[in-house]
Amino acid sequence: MPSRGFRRRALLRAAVVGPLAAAATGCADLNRPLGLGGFVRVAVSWSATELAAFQRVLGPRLDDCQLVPLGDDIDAAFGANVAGRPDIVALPQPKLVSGKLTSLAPLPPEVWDRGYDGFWSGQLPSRDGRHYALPFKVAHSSVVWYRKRFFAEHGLTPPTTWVEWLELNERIVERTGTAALALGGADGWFLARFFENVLLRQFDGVYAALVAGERGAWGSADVRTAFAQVARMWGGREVLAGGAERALVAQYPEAVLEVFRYHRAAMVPAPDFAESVIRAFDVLDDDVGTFTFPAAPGLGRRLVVSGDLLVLTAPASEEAENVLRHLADPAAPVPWIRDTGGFIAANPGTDLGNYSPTLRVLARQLTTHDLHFGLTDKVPLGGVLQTVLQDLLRALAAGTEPAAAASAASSAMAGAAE
Amino acid sequence: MSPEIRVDDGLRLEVSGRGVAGGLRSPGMRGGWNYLLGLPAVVLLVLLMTPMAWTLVLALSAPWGAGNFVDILTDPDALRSIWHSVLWVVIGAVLLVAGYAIAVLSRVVSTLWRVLLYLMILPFGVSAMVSGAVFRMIFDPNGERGTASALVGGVTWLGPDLIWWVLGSAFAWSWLGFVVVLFRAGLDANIGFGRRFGNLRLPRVGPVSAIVVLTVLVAAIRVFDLVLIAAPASISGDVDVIGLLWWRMTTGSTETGAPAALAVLLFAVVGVLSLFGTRWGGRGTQPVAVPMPEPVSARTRRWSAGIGVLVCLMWTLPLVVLVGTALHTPAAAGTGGWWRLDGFGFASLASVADTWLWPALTRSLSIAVPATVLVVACAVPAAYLLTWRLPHRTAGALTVLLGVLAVAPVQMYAGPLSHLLAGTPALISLVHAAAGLPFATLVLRAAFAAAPRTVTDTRPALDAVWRRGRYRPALVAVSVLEFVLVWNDFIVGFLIGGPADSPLALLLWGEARQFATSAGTVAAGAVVSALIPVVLLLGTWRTVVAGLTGRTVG
Repeated sequence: MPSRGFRRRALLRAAVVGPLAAAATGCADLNRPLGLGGFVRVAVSWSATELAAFQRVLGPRLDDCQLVPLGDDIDAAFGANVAGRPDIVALPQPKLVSGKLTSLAPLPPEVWDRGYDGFWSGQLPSRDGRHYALPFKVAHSSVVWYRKRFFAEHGLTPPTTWVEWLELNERIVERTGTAALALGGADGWFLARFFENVLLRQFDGVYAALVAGERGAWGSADVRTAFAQVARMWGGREVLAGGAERALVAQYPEAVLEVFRYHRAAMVPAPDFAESVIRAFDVLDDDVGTFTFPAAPGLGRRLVVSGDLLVLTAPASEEAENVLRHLADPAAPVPWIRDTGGFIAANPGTDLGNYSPTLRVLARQLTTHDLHFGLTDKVPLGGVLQTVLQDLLRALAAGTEPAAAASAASSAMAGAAE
Repeated sequence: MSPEIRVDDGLRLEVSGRGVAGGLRSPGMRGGWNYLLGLPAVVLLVLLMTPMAWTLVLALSAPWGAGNFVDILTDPDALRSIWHSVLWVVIGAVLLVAGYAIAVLSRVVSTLWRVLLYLMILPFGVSAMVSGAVFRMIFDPNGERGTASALVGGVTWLGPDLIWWVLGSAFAWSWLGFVVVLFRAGLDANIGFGRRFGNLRLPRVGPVSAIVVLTVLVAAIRVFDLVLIAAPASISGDVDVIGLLWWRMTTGSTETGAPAALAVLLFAVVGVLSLFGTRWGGRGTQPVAVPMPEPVSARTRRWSAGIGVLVCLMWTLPLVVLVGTALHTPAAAGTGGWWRLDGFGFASLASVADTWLWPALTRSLSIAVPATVLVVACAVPAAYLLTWRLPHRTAGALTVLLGVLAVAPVQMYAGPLSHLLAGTPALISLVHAAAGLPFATLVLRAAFAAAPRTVTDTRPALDAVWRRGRYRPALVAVSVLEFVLVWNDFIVGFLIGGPADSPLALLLWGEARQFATSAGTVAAGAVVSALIPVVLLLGTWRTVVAGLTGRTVG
């Protein structure tokens, strides 16, 4: 009895599971998922709406491509074994390119636009006159987003100096009961961008020294003061939405929503690509305003940027080069710019008319100002900086005085640099 | 038909090499060609052991013999991660006690029990990645999105103070069902009473406790992807475990000695657990069938029913959260909880289906199916040889070896293998098969050894293993567990495979990069990825339990 019953049940189960498995594999175009070749594999760090936007950018080429979203592990695209490497990789940091030159194929010469020469050439390694990384996306990271209507209602204006910003925060908290700032401290880069803006736009010289690799500069008085300024702002009474601990575990899109969706904070310091979050979650256009991080006199033309670069892994196939040629077209990113938002093309040929009014201002700034890559994207200690800033936020959450937290942070940073 | 599992006799998963095969082997057997049957298994084990030996060499090299170990044991970060791994063992132990208690109570409320069983075993088919994701959704500190925060406001659940509760709950959700079901099967064997605490006499679970204790403790100490997805990056230090620290050390620097030493340390801990855990679990007097007196008062019944209902609700919630979130549009799921009545739709599912879902499903299938076939094909002859053909002492020694290999952490062989295998999907199946082979062989051997007392020929031919229905539950158990394990795998794909493999769990992890605001698509991907293993497990779990406990399905 048991064995016959068992057999019947097994058949029933096979009947249930079989079609399911078939349905799981049958729906999609069979060639692509089965890995039977012919398509170009593109590894990107984008996810969610940005990934969908990139698919639209690939447009007619999408059928030839398979996307491999690797998130923050984009480095894994260059695993030890050559066999499984994607054909094209979108790298989010210039420092990732220089270490991998031997694994890369040179770009087809015609995709390099003259307009890249000025800023990008100095950032990107080249060899024998050939370029290896195609600038695709550039992010304006000196932006602070704020709620226009809220500012208008309470008669507030965006700050132009650091002192004004501190006063503004106090006024917001006292007058409105709303928090001044939302932070996404779970994303280390988010805090690092804040710090980099303070350092680049408030202090002359030290930023260049750090980028040049002078480790001693991490112990300088300027860096210490910058930490103190940051800690003072974050540690202000009720300045952070939900408190420092919430800020520590929130990621950057959550911080954007705290401001524009839940209205629990007035401002969020986030790069231009925050626009994609704002648009994905239906925020009214007339509520969205931006200002640039306050700068010391004479330093206002400096902007922190980051960028995504497309590289071809060696040996590059004809198809991969064709996909790259398509992506290098000035019009290629237009679907991302128009439909999703939060994208500024690195290609100077892309028409500014495609951007939303908010992003057009930022895109224009990028063509006229001095651009500086973030420290996290340039120097090896960038990772440590992120951890140190998260620890600073954590200390504030635990009730440590801002001054003490800042001095612990600068000691930790100076110690790591030694 | 009652859901109880009828008992013929117990099964013990021995790694000590004593006893099990005693009296089964006919003395004076010859015929070396038989041993060729074990060749595929030996090849797979060599594939596993060579990189492990290499890791051991790395750990013991430069600067001097034990130098790397001293470095680790004096490094505060490493010490913290070791302490956290110990904490996971404690969590595992608590889970075992709770599982035992629920199993005992479940005998009092038999109707409710049937519902409870299906509910509790279901999450066992869900990957750790998915279970971590669900609990991060439940405990989202934002009250508009997180269930727990909506109920209890003002608490930062994912913060450094409470994150361990979140992780512990996710682990319990995955594993408690497995513990309860197997303990219950053991209790139903009516083996009698064990320890006595005052008036309380604890019913004995029997030999199956060895499998349960070992599996859960080893799973607890090897926790990896659960922590990776559930904890925000900013507090990763607070929940760091040996396995994760190993990963950060290998990706963060080119140093090989210290991470190798860390892997060896982890392996040593689970190896010792395996050796002693099974020995302790399998010990005890011979099973004597004692009819269990069950003088259950109405009050006890009420209490048991109450606890049963509570567990039912607690185990259902994560499922509701997951499916409810997946059925909201990405915009609705990113800004509000699953309970919101607006924003329902299939847009999240459509979004993942448009991007990465189908290729990933096929990829996972193309890794899991060959791995399962390979494991069964290699483990059956190996177990057959161990049970009936090999000399007693050799079989015993090999069993000890398999018991230790069965718990070997991926970190022990990932380093050297990733250099050879990354980007070759077929070979990843091979690694999975090699990793799954020891456990499969042990289960099959125990099933083979437990049977022949009722069979006339003590040494059957190999093909009789299938023809004789007696062993089929064990074969089903091994196949189902291997398939579910490989399908749900993150760590092997992550540490050894490259982007070329990109199975489900890996892409889900990429999708979860901006966790809270991607909740819709993450949940959608999670639901689809969990469907196949869950259906498979629910369809076969009774046979699986029978296979693991050496019983027939009633």
